[in-house]
Amino acid sequence: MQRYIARRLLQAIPTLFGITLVSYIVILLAPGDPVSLLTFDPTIRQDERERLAIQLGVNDPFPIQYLRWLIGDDWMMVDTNADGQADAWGDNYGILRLDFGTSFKFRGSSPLKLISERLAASIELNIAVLLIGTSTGILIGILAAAYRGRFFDRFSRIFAVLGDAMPVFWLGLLAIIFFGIILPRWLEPQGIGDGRPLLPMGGRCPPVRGGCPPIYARLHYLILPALVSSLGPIAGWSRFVRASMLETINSDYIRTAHAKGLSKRGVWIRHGLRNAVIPLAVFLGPLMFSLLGGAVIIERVFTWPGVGLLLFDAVVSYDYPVIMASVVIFSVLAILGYLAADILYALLDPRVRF
Amino acid sequence: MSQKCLSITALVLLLLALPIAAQEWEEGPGPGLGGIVIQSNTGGDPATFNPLISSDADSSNIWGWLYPAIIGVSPFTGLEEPNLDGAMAASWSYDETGTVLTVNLRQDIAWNDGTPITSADYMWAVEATRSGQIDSPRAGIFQTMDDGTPAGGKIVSIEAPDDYTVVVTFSEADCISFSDVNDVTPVPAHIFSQLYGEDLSAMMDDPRHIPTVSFGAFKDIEFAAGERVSLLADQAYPDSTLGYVSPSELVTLQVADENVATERFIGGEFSILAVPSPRQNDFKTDPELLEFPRFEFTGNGFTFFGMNHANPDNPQPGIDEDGNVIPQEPHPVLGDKLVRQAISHAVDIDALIEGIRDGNGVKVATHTIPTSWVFNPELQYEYNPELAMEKLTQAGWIDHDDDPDTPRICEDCLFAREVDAEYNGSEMTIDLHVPAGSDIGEQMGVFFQAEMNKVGFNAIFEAIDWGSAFIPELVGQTFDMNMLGWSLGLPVDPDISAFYYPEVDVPGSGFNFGSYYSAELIELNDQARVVPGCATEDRAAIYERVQEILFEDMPYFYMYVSESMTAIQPGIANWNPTPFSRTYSIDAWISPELATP
Amino acid sequence: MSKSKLFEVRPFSKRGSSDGFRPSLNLWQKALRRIRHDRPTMVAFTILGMFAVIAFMAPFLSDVVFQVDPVTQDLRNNYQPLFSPGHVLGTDELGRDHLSRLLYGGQISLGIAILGAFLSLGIGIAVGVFAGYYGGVVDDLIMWLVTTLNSIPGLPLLIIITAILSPSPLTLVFIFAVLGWTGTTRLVRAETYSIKEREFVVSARAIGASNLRIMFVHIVPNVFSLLIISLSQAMGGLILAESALSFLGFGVRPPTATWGNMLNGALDYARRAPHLVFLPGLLITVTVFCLYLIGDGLRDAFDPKIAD
Repeated sequence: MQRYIARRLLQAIPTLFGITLVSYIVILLAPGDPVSLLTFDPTIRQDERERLAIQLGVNDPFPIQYLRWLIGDDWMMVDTNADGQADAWGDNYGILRLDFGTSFKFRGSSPLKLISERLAASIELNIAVLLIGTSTGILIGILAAAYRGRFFDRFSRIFAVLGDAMPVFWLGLLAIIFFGIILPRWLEPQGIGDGRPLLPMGGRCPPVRGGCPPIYARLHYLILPALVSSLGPIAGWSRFVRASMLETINSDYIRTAHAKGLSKRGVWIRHGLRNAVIPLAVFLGPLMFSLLGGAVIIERVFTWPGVGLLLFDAVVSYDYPVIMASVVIFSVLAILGYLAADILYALLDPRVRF
Repeated sequence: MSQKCLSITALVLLLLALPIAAQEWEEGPGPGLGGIVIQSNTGGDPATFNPLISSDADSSNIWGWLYPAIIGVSPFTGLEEPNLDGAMAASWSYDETGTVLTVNLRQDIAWNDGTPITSADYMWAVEATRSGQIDSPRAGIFQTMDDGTPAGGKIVSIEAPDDYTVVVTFSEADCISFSDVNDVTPVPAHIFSQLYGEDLSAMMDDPRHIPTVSFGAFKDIEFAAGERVSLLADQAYPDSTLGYVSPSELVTLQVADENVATERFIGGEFSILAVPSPRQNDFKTDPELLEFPRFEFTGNGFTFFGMNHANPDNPQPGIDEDGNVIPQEPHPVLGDKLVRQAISHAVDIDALIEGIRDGNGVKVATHTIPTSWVFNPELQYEYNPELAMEKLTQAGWIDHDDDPDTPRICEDCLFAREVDAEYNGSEMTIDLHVPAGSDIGEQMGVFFQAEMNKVGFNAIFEAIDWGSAFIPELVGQTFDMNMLGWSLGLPVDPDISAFYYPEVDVPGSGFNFGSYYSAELIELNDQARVVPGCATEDRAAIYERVQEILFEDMPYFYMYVSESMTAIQPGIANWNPTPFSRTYSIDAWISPELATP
Repeated sequence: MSKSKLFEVRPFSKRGSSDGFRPSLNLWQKALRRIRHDRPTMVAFTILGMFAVIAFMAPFLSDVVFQVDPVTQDLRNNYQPLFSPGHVLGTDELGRDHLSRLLYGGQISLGIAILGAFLSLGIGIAVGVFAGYYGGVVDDLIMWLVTTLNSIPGLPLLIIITAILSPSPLTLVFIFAVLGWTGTTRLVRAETYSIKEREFVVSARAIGASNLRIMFVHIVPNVFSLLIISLSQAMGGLILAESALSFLGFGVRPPTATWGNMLNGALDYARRAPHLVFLPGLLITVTVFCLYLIGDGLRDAFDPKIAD
C-alpha cells in the first residue's frame, strides 16, 4: 500500500510540471503585456515603464522567465536598474517555494493570502453541495431503480435532468427574485411574513460587525446557493446510482443471494447498495476539488466570497500572479483529489490488488 | 491686481447655495440610534485603506470617510470652497505673481484621539508622496521628486511656516493647478510617523493596515474579504450635521452582479442604490418601484468615439526631443475633417439616447458637460444622412454604384492626394471597437455600424477585450474609432492640455490618442490658463472660441453625458442628494431597519 | 459472435458495453428497439430534430416566411411586445426582430455545440487510438498531457482562455474542442489497449493490414457505442457553457446573436420586456434538456447489463 501511494506521488510530479508549463504558456500568449496594463496612467513616464518591465523580467527569453517564476531568482544576479547589467540578487523564491509574487491589483498582498482568505467560504459551499447532491441523488437513484419503469422513475428522471438543463445563472437570479421579492410580497397580504425576503438574496454572512457567526447560525445564507448548485450533482448522482443498482441486482451473485432465500430488501441493501456505492467514492475526491474552481457562476450570482469569484475578479483585472496561483493551487488540489480517490477505491474494493 | 479670484467666486457660489444648505433637518432619535446604512459595491474589494498609496475608487470610497481633505469641494456647487465640513482650509489667497498660494487652516478640528489636525499632517503626506519610496499615483503633481528626478508636475514646493498655514509654490501661474493641492490627503502624522517613519516603503507591504486614528463621520474599519467593509459611527466628529452622527454603522456590501444588486435593493437589503443605467427606466415607470424615492442628475462623465487623425500604420509622437511639433501622416479615412463631420451627420444620436439610454442622456458636441460654465447648448451635431453623403462626396469618397449600402471608394480623397496616390480606389473602411463586456457599449457599437454603413462606410464593429486589446491599440495609436467613457473629476475645468496637446501625443502612453493637433486651439488654451485673476467669465470668453473650433474640427465624436439615478429606501429621513454628492448628509440619516433575515 | 461477458472490473470506464468484440448487430438492434420504447427519449429526439431543422432553415424562415432580418435596427420601436405587427416575437433593445435573432442565434448556438462536440470527439478518438495502439513513449507523452489538462479545473481555464482570445463562434468551437478531448481519449485508449490483442485484430495484422487501417477500421467502430452516449451529453454541456461564458462577459461577442448572449443581455430588461429573457432561456433549457434525456436514454439502451 505504501509503495502504491509513493508510486502515485512520484507520478504526480510530471503532471505538476505540466500544469505550471501550461498555465505559464496560456498567460504568455495573452496579447498586451502586464507592463502597459499596470501603467495605464499618463503620469507614468516611459523610463519608469522600462524599469518596471525589467523588474518584472518580461523582456527575458521565455525559458528564463519561466524558470524565474518556477524556482525563483534569489540564486542569480538580476538587472534591477535597467542598465543591461545584472547588479543585484533576485528576491523571488519561485512558486516551488510557494512564492507566487504579489498581486497586481491588491498591491502588497500575496496571492496565497488572498486565496486563503476565500478558501473557507468555498469549502463551506462545496461541502453543502456535496451533502445535498449525493444524499438526494443517491436516494432518488435507489428509488428510481426500485420502481423502475414506474411513475417515480420517469418523473425523477425528467425532473433531475430539467434542473440540470437550465443555465445556472438564470436559475439563480430567478431564485433570488422569487424568494426575495415575489413570494414574500405575495404572502404578506395573506398575513404571512412582513414582505421582507424569505431567504437572504446573497452573501455568506449577515452584514453585522464582529465577524461571521458560526455556520449553524447562518445556514439560511447557504440554502439558495447550495440548492441551485446541487441540481447538477443530483441529476448526475441519481442517474449513476440508478444504473449501478440495476446493473448490480441483475448480476449473478445477487441472483445467488436471492436463491439462497435472503429477503428482497436485505439483498438490495446488503449487496446491491454496497456495490453500487463503491464507484461513487471514486468521484468524490475529484468532484470535491473541481467544485472549488468551478463554482465561479454560483459565487458570482450569490456573491459567495469564494475562490472562484477571486479568480474571476483576477481575470477581469489581469491580475496574473493571482490567476496563476489559483490555477496551480486548484490543479494541485485536483491531483490530490484523484490520488485520494484512487487510494479510497483500492481500500474499498477488495477486487483491486496492488 | 488682487488674485483672490477663487475665494471670491467660491463666496458668490456659496451665497447662491445657502438656501439649499440651510434646509431643515429632521431630529433623529439620537447619536448612533439612526439605524444601519447598507450600500452595495459591485467594483470589488478595496485594495488599500491607506490614502497615500491608493489609486482605485473601491478604496477611496472607504478611506474617504476617515480622512479630511485639505481643501473641501462643496456638495452643492462642485467647486472648492473654504470652511467646508470635513475639510481643513479656512481661507486661501495667491500672491501678486499668482504662483504662491497660501492656505490658512481651521484651528477647530482634531483627530478622534484628540490630537489637533495641523499643517504637519498634510506635510507628512506631502513628503511621503514626494519621497519616491512609495508607489503613489499622485507623485506626478510635483515638478521634481525629493531625489531630484523630474516628475513633470507644476508644484515646486509645499511648506508649512506654522501649524495652521500651508504655502504652495507653483512653477507657473495658471488656473488649473489649484486642484492638485487636493490630490494629497492629510494623514495623522503622529500615528503614521510611528508606523512608517523609519521606512516609508513599509506601507506597500501592509496596504490594508486599519487606521486607529481618523477624522470623519465613521471610523473603525472592519473588513471581510469578498464580503463587506463595515464602519462605525464616530461621535467625536466635530462637523456632523445634527451635532452627532445618527446612523450607528455604514456597511458596504460586495455584490458581484449589478442586476443582483438592484434586485437586492428592491427586496430591501440595501439602503441606497446607484441605479445601473439599463434599470433606470424600471424605477421611473414600474408601479412596483415607484415607492422608492429617487434622485436624477446629470453626471460628469461623457461617452464618445475617439477618432484617430493620424495614420494608424505609422504612429508618431506629437513632438520631437526639442519640443517641435512633428507633422503626421493623416489617417486614410478619418484624417479628413469632412469625413469626421459626415459621421456626425450620419448617426442619429437622439435616437441613440432615446433607444439605448432610455432617454437618460444629454447630447453634447464637445468635451464640456452641461453643468460646466462653458457649456454651449447651441453646439449640436445635426442628424442629416443626406448632408453626410454630400460631405463624403466632397471629400473624394465616391458612391460609384449609386447604392448607399455598398462602401464608397476613394477618388482623390485626402490620403490619396497627400500621401499615396495608389490609395485611390480603396474602400472607406473603419474599424469600430468598443470594450467587451459593456452591454450598452456593445449596443452602441452595433448601432454606429448600422448608421455609418447606411451612408457608405464599411464600418467593421467588434467588441474587444479591454486590457489585452482595446487599451493597447488605443494607447498605441493603431485604432480607427474606439468608444470611450470619460469621467471628469471635481471641480470640472474645460482645460484641454491633458488630452489635445502634442506633448501628450506619445504612442504607448499619453492621452492624445488620436494625435489631434490645432495650433490655434493650443494658443487659445494657453491664454485661458493664465488669465489674470482666473475669473470664470474671462476664461469663458476664450473657451467660447475653443468650443467652436472643436465643434468644427470634431476631434472626437462626443455623444452624450449620462444622466445618473440614485434610489433610496422609502422612509430614510434627511437624505439630501445633490448632483455632486448623494451621501454628504449621511451622518444625519435616520434609517428604518433593513431587511436582514 | 459470442455474448459479452457480464463482469469486468475497470475502475475508470466501467460503463463499457463493448469489451473487445466486433459490435454485434444484436447490440445496435437491441438498443434501437429499446429506444423506440423509451417515450421520453423519442419525444426529445423529435423536438431536437425540429429545432435543428428550424435553425438550419433560419435564413429561409426569417427572410422569406416572416420577412424580417436580425440586423435592421429601429431604436424608436424597441421593446415591442409579443405579437406586434410585423414582429411576431416583438423587438429587442435595439428594435431588431426578436424572432429572427432567435432563429439565427439558434443556428450559432447549436452549431457551436455540434461542431465543438464532434471536433473534441474526433481529436479524442484519434489521440486515444494512437496512444493505445502504439503504447510506449507516445502513450506516456499523451497520457502526461491528458493528466495535466485533466488536473487543471476546466471552467477557470476556459474563462482565462476566452478572456484572452475574445472568441468568435468558430474560435469558441476550437477552444471547447481543445479543452474537451481528454475524457474521450482516456476511454478510447483503454478500449484500444484491450482490443488490439484480440483475435480479429491480430489476424487483420497477419494478413497485412496497415496500422491506420487497423486503427480506424477495426478498432474505432468497436468503441463507437461508448462515444455516442457521451456525444449528446457533451453538446448539452457546450450550450450551457456558451451561455455561462456570456454571463461572465467572455462569450460570443455581439452583434452575433447566440441564445446565450441574448439571454444574458436581456437580464437587464427583464422587468420591461420579460419575453426577451424567457424565450432564449426556454430554448436553451429545452434543447439541453432534450440532449441530456437522449444521452440518458442512449446509455440505458446500450447498456447490456441492464436487462429488459
